[in-house]
Amino acid sequence: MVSAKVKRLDAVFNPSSIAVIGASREPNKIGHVILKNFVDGGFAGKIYPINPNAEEIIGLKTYRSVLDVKENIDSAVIAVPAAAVPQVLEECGKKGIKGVVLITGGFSEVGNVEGEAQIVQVANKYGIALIGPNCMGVITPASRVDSVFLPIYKLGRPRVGGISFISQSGAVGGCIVDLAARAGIGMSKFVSYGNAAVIDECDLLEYLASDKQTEIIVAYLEGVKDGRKFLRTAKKITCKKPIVVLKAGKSRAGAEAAQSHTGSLAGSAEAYKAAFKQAGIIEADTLEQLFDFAKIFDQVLPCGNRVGIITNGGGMGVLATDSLEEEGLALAEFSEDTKKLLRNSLPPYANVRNPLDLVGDADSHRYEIALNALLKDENVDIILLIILFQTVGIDSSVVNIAIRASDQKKKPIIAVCTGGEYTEMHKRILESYGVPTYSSPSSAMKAIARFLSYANHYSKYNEMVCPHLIKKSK
Amino acid sequence: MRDSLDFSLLSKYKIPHPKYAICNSAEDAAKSAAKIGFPVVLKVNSKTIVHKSDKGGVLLNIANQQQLKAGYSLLLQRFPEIQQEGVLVQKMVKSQDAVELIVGGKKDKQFGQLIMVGLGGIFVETFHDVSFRICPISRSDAEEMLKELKAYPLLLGARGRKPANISAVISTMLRVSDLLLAEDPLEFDLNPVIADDKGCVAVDVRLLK
Repeated sequence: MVSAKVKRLDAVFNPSSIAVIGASREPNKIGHVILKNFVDGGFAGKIYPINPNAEEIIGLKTYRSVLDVKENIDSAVIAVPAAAVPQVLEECGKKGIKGVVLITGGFSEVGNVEGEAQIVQVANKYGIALIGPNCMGVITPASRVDSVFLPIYKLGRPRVGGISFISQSGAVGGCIVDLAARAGIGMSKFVSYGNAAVIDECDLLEYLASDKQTEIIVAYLEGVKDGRKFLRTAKKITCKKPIVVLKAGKSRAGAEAAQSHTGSLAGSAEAYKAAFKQAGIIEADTLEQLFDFAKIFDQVLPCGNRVGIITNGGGMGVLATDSLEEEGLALAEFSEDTKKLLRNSLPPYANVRNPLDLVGDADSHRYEIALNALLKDENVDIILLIILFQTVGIDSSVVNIAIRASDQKKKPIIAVCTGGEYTEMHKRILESYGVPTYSSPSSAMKAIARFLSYANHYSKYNEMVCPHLIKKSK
Repeated sequence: MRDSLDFSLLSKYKIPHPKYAICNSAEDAAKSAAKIGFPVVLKVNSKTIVHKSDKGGVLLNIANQQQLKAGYSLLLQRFPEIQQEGVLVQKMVKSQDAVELIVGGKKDKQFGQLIMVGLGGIFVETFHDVSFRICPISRSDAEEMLKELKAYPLLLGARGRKPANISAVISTMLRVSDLLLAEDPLEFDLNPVIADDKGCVAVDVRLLK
């Protein structure tokens, strides 16, 4: 089903040897940064720096051309000036290199359509799976592939995880990777795919759909090459794996000149929105939402829309209830058993209604009682766990309790922690153990609503026995 | 392209619409109205006017020959071109609990034919209560589109009104989806589409090639 070209992308993401063409001795040159990322990042395979004017760069023997290397090379990163690209690409083809990441810009994005056509022609002649040109590179945390030309000390690299992220824009993609790394979110692949001259967004989607390390696909798009093909490809994938998309450029172009009612209401943004709905894609409206919506899939899919809220701050419970209504979710009615259990175990001044306010002096033990009660309660489908770390009674052990409850994989547990550095530290721990955290009740509820609608979509195509986890690993 | 042809297109795709005739003279209109049966609507047959009613090009609820004659002269006065392009005599659709919808289409550069459904009538652009999908659509797509509308409760019969025949609306939407894919117009409007408990009929149509 997957085409040969798409299969060859394996060479890009999991190579056993790599050539860095345009490797440079100058520390501030792109070709140097990329080489250094492979070396410092701990890439376990062979690294061949290619530079006709150097003998050795950061301790590695340097070659004039890939053709001078005797051993096989799986993949190459090219960062030479645009004019030199056709020749080095030709050499890659002759060498039998299967995958290429072409960083170099100066092609169709600046009107050099002929130059780009030439690259496509060479890549196709040798069947090279080529990413770019004009892209920022690729990261595979698991195999330590890192051709992103931004230094590691400036742009944080994410830990290994199940989210793969493709970005049409290198700059936007880079910022998001940096944010995700800081938040403790794990990634399988990051691809900045630039001009998509050979490998386009549909090829990448297909590859990631069949990639066992990818559990969730996140995409930042400015446009697609072929709308209908994109719709068909995405529709097939969302039956199995969720896709979260942020589409930039919601212009009214096309609607202005219209001569009919429909024409005047239908801009390109409406067309994209419609296509996303039909494909079962989860649409994000902001950069933050891209990963807000993706990371929630660490949890088991919800089997209903009844949310049980646990909080140690009454006001946050009220805010959560407001957002819950806005997103069309339901406030769970606790069962009599739950109420009885809570009444017996919590102090008399705690009100055993939903939202369940454990009160400002709540400690970890109270959270444990509440979590266990709601996990058992058949009237509760989803648990929203609000923890305000600023109070005297709360200590770090509440994190363990939340993680243990989440590890039972009975019901989705989503955490809301609002606060500064102390709070952020605990959020990162929760996040790295697969408990998605949000800074506000509204951002959490928005994610829950998307999670639920994906669960409905998924259940149309799959036998779903609750609780069901899309992710296999953690 | 003219309304006459557009209405014949509706017959081709079995999209329900009121009986009509295109007439080039007062006598012709009188004969057709008698055949169609009063009350009728008189509309200027124009390919260029989007908001016909704003320009006084639609005369509703004409009950007899006398009113028809007067109506025809009024339209002739306002739009001298009807001597060549003609007027549309159409059976007046009367319904108490009707909801006016719009069902339309547009050719998008990236995705091809888009279908739209929404709250129709003269306030389409004001309320923006519309929903889109890429053609072709399935029955469940059509259902979802209707449910996305703020006006959906109106179709279900809000405040004691009779609920509209939603399955008739859905079959019109599915037929419009077929029409859009086969005819591939640049833009297409059925507005209003009058939906009530009995069914739904497309009262006005506009197609731009």
